[in-house]
Amino acid sequence: MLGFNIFMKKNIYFCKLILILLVLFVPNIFADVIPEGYKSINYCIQFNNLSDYQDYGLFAVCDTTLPTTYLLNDPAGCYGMYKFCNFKVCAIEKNKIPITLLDTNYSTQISKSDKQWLNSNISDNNFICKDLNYHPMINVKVESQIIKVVDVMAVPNFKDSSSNFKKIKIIYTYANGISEEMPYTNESRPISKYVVSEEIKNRYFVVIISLIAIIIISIILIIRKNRKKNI
Amino acid sequence: MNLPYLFSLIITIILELGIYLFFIKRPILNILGYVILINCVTHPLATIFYKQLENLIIVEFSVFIVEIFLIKWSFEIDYKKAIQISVIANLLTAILGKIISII
Repeated sequence: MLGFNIFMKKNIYFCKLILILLVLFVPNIFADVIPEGYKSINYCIQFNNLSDYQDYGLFAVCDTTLPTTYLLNDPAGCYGMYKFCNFKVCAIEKNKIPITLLDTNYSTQISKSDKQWLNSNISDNNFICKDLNYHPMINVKVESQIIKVVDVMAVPNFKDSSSNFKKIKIIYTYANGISEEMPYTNESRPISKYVVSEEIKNRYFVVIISLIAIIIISIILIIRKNRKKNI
Repeated sequence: MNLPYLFSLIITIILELGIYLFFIKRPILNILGYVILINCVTHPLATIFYKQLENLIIVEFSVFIVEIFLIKWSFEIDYKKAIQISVIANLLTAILGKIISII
C-alpha cells in the first residue's frame, strides 16, 4: 500500500511537471490562426484608377470560405474582405448589370435576385476576373504601433489577359495618428520605417539597462574582493 | 520609453523578490537591490534574444544559467542554493509571463 502511495505521489508530481512544461512551451493556438505574439489589424485596398472604368461594373469577389461579392463604385473607397478570401476583381459591361445592383456598394445588402444574377454570371464566366494573388490580411507583432494598413493598387486592363494588378503604394497608420506612405519598388511590401526606428530605439533602451546593471554588479564584486583582500 | 517592457520588468522583479526572500535571510532592501540588478542584466538581454530567436526554451535556459552565477556571486551563497533559487524564480516568471500573454 505504501509503495502504491509513493508511486501515485511520484506520478502526480510527474503529471504536474508535464502540465507546467506544456503551458510553457506549447505555442498558443487561436481559432483564426494568428501566430503567437502577433495581432490582426485593419487592412483594405484602394484602387486608384476606378474612374477609368466608367463603362464597366467592377466587383470585388471572394470565392473561398465565405463567398462575398460587392460593387466597387467609390473611387476613394477602401475595400476589405474576409481575411482568408482569395480576393478577385471581376468586370462586366455596365449595361448588362441590373439597375438595382448598380445602386449598391460594399455596405449594402444585395437583393436575392441580384445575388442570383451575380452567381449565375460568375459561374457562366460572363465576368472577366483578375486575381489579386493576395490574401486580405495583415498580422503585425503585438507591440507594433501600426493600427491600419492600406494598399493602393491600380486595376489592370481587363481586355488584356496578361495585364495584372499593379501595387502602387502602401499607407501605414500608427496609434499616435501619424501616417506613412511608401511606394512599392518590387512585389514585396515595403517595411514601415517608423516601426523599424522604434524597434531600434527600444533595443538601445534595453541594452543600456543591461549594461548599467552589469557595470554596477562588477563594481560591487570588485569592491567586495578588495575589502576581503585588505582584511 | 518602452512602457510595456518596463511593466514586464517590474512584474518580474516583484515576483522574483518573493522567491529570493523565501531562500535568503538578509534585509529586504539588500535583497531588492540585488534582484533589481540581476534582472536588469538578464531580462533586457532575454527580451532581445527572444525577439531574435523566438525560442522560449533556449532563452529561459540561458537566463537560468546566467542567473545561477549572478545569484551565487551577489549573495555569496553556495551553488546548490543558487540553482534552487534560479530554477524556481525563472519557472514562476516564465509560467506567469505565458499566462499573461495568453490572457
